[in-house]
Amino acid sequence: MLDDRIQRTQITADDWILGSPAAPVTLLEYGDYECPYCAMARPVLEGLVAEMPDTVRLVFRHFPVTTVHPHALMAAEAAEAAGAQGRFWKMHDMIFAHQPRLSYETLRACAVAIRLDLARFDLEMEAHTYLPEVRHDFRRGVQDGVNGTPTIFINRLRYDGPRDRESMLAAIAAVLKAAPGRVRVVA
Amino acid sequence: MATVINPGTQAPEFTLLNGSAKPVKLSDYRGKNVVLAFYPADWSPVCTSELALIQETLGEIRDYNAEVLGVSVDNHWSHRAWAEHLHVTFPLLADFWPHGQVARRYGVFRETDGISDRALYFIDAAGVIRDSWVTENPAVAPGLNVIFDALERIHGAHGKETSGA
Repeated sequence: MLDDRIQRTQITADDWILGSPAAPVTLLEYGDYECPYCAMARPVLEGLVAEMPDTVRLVFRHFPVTTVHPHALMAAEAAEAAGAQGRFWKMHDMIFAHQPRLSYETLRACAVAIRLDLARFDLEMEAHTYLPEVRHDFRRGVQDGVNGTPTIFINRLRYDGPRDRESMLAAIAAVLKAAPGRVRVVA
Repeated sequence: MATVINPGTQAPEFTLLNGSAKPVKLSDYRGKNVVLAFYPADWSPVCTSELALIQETLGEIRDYNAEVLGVSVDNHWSHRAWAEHLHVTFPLLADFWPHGQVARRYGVFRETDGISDRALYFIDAAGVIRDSWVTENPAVAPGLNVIFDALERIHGAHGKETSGA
């Protein structure tokens, strides 16, 4: 039987990490900006980091499923372009907030709202400067065993359970219990 | 409990209609590796993401001299509408009548609710089953690495880079 439950890739310096680098629990999300389930998961995942900043960190990698989501790839490139200007997570949140209509004009409006250098944004989007980064994330997702969007790993083990706060807190508590550490989770 | 066919066994032959109501035979694909993807039902959310993910990586799958055949117990009209909806270009085969006969032959039919398990069979160019993956929790789709790991074992690492870090 082939196994697909374990995250094989490492978290690296080029990953987008929300929260403390030293947090003992890593949530790795493979997501698609046009996927409604990813938009629903966003406040939960970011909320867990906000709630337990010393315990939980969130890593986001792009997994645009372009055949069903025609704007997802462009949106991922836009998030990377914002990241190059030091505003990845701001753009990430803006894009999800505008999910039903992710045209280039919308992405540009998001860029304006978070005060990106717009000339640079346009230039880099036109040149697809960050397409290799997005492709790199996608390849890592294939390797890790993405099985839909979002796919979430908690400390390298794929989490296929419900994506609400309580369920995820319980899963995190179970992970911490299995690998006793220095922190305590109060659910 | 499904009884999956063991690796090394000749894959059972079948003829099923595709979404255009044309008969498709497994043996038509001799000379190609085949990913035979059984799924419970058209139009259900998990199947949507599973087949969309396969479609998204179809080019890389074909780099392993492989083709994908989706199979469910839905009829060919449903397959056609669903393939259009999902932009799926590989064949979806209707195991509709006799109901679930091919799923039964492959040991993945569920007598309890009349659908098939979610399962993958990897069949080589000579028509021999080389690997399989099956889950009885229809809510969980296979990770994409399952497909590429299996194809790599059958075909060698001749595909383009799909897994490089």
